[in-house]
Amino acid sequence: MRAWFRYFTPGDITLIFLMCVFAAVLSFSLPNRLATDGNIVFIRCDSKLVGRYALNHDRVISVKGPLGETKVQIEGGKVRILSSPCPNHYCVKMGEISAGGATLLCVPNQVVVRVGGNESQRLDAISR
Amino acid sequence: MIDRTGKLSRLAVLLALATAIHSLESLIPFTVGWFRFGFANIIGLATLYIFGFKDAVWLTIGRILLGGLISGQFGSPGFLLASAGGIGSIIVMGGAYWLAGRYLSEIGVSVLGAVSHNMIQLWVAYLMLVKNESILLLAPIMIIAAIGTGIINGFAGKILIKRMKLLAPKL
Repeated sequence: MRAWFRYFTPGDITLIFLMCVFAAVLSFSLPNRLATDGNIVFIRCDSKLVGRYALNHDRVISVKGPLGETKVQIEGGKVRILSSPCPNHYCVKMGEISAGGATLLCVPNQVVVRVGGNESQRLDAISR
Repeated sequence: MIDRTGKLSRLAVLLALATAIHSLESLIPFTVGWFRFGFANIIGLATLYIFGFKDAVWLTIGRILLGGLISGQFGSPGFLLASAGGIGSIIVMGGAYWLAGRYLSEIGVSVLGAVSHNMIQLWVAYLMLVKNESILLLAPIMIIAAIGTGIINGFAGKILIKRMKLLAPKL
């Protein structure tokens, strides 16, 4: 046990410890930074914003991607992908989402559906 | 005084080894997505300690190009990630060795290399491939995984460097 440990210099131990602390801090701070209160559905295609839609207003939106039309359904405060021209339909199988920050995505047709708050009203920082 | 032919042939053997490890490793199946041990980094680490920074960078570039050709990934998104992570991590390791070589052993340098490798890959994947913030949530898991593989590779690299110096004390 002692012999195994002497291969590490004090610098190594400090470095590994700091990295662990960094990982721990990130795992607590990242979800807070990325989470938003979700009431708006953002639909992006080919990383351009196609539109934003209220989560409480039922409708079906069709999005034109490189493969064809992806149909996104908003119903009862939840979003799902109804149909998609992609081969595997993983996006349809992702089911429905409603929480802020949750995401549906179809990689072949480059469609990203994300629930978020009003991004322009988000605060950068609070000082007191 | 290092004779040039000896250095060249040793670098060639190291490059061949690194390429072989790089390609063989892509055959290991993992259930956890992108997880890799990055054993090829052992060779990069040894080259950095024995031959210096410049040769280590060239070895890494060669390893990624040849490995990409062998595994058929040349030009694919995976290849882009491998080159960004590999070259970034050897630069970080070179910097760490140069700046903090007195305080860190091979293990510390290797851990830094592994962590920077994963972080650069995640960042490039975010910027160029996925473009969705949610992928950044993987960062803490990837740092912890990199610490583990970095320690393992650091040990292996330490042993390799010791043996190589025994075989050729002139280097």
